[in-house]
Amino acid sequence: MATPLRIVIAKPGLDGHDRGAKVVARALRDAGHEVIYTGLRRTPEQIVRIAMDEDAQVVGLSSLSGAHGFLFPRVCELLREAGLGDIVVFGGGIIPERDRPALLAAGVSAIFGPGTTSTELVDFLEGLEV
Amino acid sequence: MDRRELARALSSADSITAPTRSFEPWCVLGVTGSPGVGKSCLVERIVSHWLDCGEKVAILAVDPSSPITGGALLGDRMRMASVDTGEDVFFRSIATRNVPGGLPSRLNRMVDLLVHEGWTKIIIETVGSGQSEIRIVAVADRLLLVEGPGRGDVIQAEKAGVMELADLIVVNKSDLAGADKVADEIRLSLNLSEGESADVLLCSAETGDGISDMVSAIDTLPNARGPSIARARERLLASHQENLISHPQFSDVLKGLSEGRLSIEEALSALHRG
Amino acid sequence: MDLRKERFETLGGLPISPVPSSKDSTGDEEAPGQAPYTRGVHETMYRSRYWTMRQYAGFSSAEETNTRFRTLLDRGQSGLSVAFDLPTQLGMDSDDPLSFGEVGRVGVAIDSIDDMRSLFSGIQLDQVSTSMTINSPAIILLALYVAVGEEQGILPENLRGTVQNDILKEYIARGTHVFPPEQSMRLITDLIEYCAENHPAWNTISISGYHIREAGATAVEELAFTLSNALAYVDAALSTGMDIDDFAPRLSFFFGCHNDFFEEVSKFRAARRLWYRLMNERYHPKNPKSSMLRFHTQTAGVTLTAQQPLNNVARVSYQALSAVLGGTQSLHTNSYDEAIGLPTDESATIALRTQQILAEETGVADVVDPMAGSYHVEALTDRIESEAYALICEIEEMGGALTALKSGFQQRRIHESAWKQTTDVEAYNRKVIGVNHAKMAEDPDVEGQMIDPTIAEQQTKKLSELRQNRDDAQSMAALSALTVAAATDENLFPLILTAVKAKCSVGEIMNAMKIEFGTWMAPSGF
Repeated sequence: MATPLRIVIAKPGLDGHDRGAKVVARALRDAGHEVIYTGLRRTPEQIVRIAMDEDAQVVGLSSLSGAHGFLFPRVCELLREAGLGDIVVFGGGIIPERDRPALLAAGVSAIFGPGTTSTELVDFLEGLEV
Repeated sequence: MDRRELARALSSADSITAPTRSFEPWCVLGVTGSPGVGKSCLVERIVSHWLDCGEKVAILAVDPSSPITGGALLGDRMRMASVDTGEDVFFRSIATRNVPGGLPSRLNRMVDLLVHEGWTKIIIETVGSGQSEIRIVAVADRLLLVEGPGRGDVIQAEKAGVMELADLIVVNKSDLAGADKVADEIRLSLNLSEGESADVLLCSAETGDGISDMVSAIDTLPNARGPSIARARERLLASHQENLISHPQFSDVLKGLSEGRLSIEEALSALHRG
Repeated sequence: MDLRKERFETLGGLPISPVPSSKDSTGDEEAPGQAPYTRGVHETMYRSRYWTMRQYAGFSSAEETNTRFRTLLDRGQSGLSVAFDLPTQLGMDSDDPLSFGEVGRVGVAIDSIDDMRSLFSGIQLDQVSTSMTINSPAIILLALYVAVGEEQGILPENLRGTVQNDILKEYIARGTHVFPPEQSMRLITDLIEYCAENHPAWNTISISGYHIREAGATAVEELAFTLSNALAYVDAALSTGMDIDDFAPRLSFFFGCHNDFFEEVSKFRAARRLWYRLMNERYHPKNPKSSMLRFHTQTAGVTLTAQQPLNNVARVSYQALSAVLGGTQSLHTNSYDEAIGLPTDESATIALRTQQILAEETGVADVVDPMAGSYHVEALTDRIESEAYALICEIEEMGGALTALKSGFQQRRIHESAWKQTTDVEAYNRKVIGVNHAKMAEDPDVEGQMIDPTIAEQQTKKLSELRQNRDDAQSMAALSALTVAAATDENLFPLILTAVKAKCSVGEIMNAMKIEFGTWMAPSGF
């Protein structure tokens, strides 16, 4: 069995909808990874701190409130400032197509919208070189 | 080492070379108890109390890895948001990674490193069911067993092992009906066993009642120079088991056993040779 | 003949008889408007008056939302429904650092009486009924509404509408809770008590299954958890000394309507019958209205797909039909682009038109409870009622809804059901058109509503103006009086009303209570 990835699944901002985040956390665990779920309402600063303390290789962010345009780039920026620029960040939730280029440019590696399957997500993680 | 380096070093526990910590002053508190008794909430209270006293507190929260996929869901820190800020607190989620007998010594090395790096109090939190979990908390200098009301039937046989190891037993959720009764039942069953038994206290992590009494009880437990006999036994067994498993011939011997080429006696003597 | 599937069941996993007959259920000879209200709470239902077409709307500033409200009223919508942004829902001001990125996103930002006044500018509050999706700070937002009503010279008894005010489902499924459970329940009963005396036409709570369902619950779980929460509110209100008939007629409910057509129709029918039964078993009300379950319905947002989004118009239509056949009192139909972003003016209009077509063109509103007597629907109604009743009893045995959610019971059940639905779709046991079946390559040309990026700045500016142009001593006195009263059992509504009139912001009022109440996070059920 390969060494599991350590993945932080985080709910940044004020959005209380965690159905998707919990389902993703569970799917990633079933794929053999170690998943740290943060619970609701974490600030970008807290998420970076969690990623650091947990020595995570991957951070997944979920937001359905439309605040992704501020929150996701902020997490990427703080990760780089903390010397954790090598952590892979992916995002999910209600993310309009027109917002995606800016998120990718800010350092988010991939965006997974509604209808994404666990297999797509797991394949993405397995393709990472971390 | 800065925080990031510490976090990375903890991931490669095998290569940790920090000096072995001494038992005085004591610094490692094990916290165990069934799911739903409110361990995390209680730990958060203890952490905040110690932080107020100027301690640097690290929490190692252990959860099981799936025996089938190797994956793990580490959800303890979501119940403890206050540990996500402040330089004097560090929280690490740890999956057991199915290394039977291996985790206690890994934890020991992590604790040595944390102590060496200036962390003055370390809490190991785990669900206290089953032999391997008991081994995990045996790493601790002091052990707190958390119980809750409404679980009287669970306490008896299953818990006997942990109760024997605990230095202090606390019944959480004292604001709910039945807490007193559970405390009495535990006291009764402890009186039946031989030797000195742990104190049983009541508290409520939710309201804060009884918390400061509990923390001072932890702080003022008689200062043994080493672990109790019961905990020393668990440590010895864990360490022995790890030695067996890490023996270079282990998988060959296991194969021999399963194919009937070796008897148990032959297997053991093969593993005890150099 | 070969069958399409080995096993046929409802979305929620209930068994289905292949050819329903009188063996499954005959249905009782009941009349609509008569206990136990299976067939509806009114004798004539939509033959007298259509359901209220109430589209949930709100985004950006109070001024922009006011424009959308007036457009919707012009286009024939019959009631208003306010969506607040997340900072407002959590009782935080727009200039709070934690509000960054969230201001004006999922709803309108309301920080003070100035915003509330702008929100209803040009709308006479005795001419509309207004529903407000607000929970933790419900008492503050209702106080703001009451204050604006007073400014308009409206008589207190003529204020009509609903506050959601349902904290239990926030802990269970929606996540905008702030205070610990006991303190939250106190604010709810304070509001109920105040309205019973001062605003008798106001629906003081909308006990909501919608968000529980959206989070993954089955139809049975949605119904059981909602009614079990309702029992907790009734017990809380009774414990303050009110009589059941003082407040029970103003309890209202809110359900989702999902894809399984017959299961949903049956769920609504079962809900009415079960509520009647629970109320009469336990509380023996004298006023018949106390045991009538009246409800709002919203089509299931979670069924909307980001793929081939126009298909969602069809989904929403069928779901809306099930709500109408189930006898809903009011309805929100989702816009087809909501899996992509906030609805645009165009998509919101189509959603409203869907209801109007249903009312005016299909003829389904001309008959009361047309599904009655269908062996299938009657059998499902019975089944859902009995399964939900069993689950409610299970929760009662655990000590009631509040104790159960503190242990994460409902949260865990919901997560398990959500997980099952996900794995069913991924294993192709259930087909979702455009997602795992009938897929197409497509251009993502549906883009959702844009939010003015300067909204947070505007709100911050308005807040600093508010704080400059008020009598600070008066505002601070109102806030400290509130903190003091929070430690007693005095009804807090009048104190909050004083505070909003003294130009205290929503965040300031919330913080004044936080000093005394503290905060609490519900277990996630993980």
